[in-house]
Amino acid sequence: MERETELALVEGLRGGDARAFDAIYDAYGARLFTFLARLSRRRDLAEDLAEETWLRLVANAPKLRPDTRLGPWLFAVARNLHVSACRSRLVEESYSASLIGLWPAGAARPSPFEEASAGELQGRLERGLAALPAADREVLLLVGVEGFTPGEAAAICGVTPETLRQRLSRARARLARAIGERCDD
Amino acid sequence: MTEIDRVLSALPVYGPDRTRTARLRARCHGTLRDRSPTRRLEPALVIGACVAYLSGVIQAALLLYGS
Repeated sequence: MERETELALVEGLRGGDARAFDAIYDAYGARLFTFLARLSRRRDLAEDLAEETWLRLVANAPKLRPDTRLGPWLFAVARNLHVSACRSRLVEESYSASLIGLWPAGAARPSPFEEASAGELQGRLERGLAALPAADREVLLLVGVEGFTPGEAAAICGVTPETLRQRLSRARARLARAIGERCDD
Repeated sequence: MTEIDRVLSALPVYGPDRTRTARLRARCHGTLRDRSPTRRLEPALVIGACVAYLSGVIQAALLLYGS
């Protein structure tokens, strides 16, 4: 999104303009949901967290700074909501490694994620990502998938850029290993 | 950009449930309407108009019956 467009949308949102909200939702809605789905590995939780993120955006709209960067703002809120959800619901612990997937365990039909992951590499990537620790997964999703700079990702995760770089390097190595191991299977 | 980042950037984007999205949009529009600066001024304007009207009524009553 162009910076000028972003500034205009923030201004519109601060003034309560529904069209500005729609434009922001069109730009980030699917991306935010996909980020949360891959991060949480649960569609239902991802939908809840995405919804809460958008509600927080509009609730805070009048208080937004005119120079707010919408992407980092939205992803930081979404990421923090996921952390809170993990703490309160023990989501991570509730998942058995054998059931790792991007859909709720025990789903009666193949999930759209699984159907869409028909490509072999893509499927291996999705499974490799899902098997990583959440801290590794989030940095790969933010930098690798969403294209945030390491500095922006560090701000979103609330860590120093140096810590993020180390985490990113470790996560890339783990994912490469996971994909490689699955190739050998 | 590393090889891992390159393949990650090619992963598809998925969408949330459409019905839920429509509901969410409507809810957010409503919240924005309620929180917009114009909307927040409305109660003050209504109260101001009421006070002005009552002042006028009292003034007229005093003029009529006061003397």
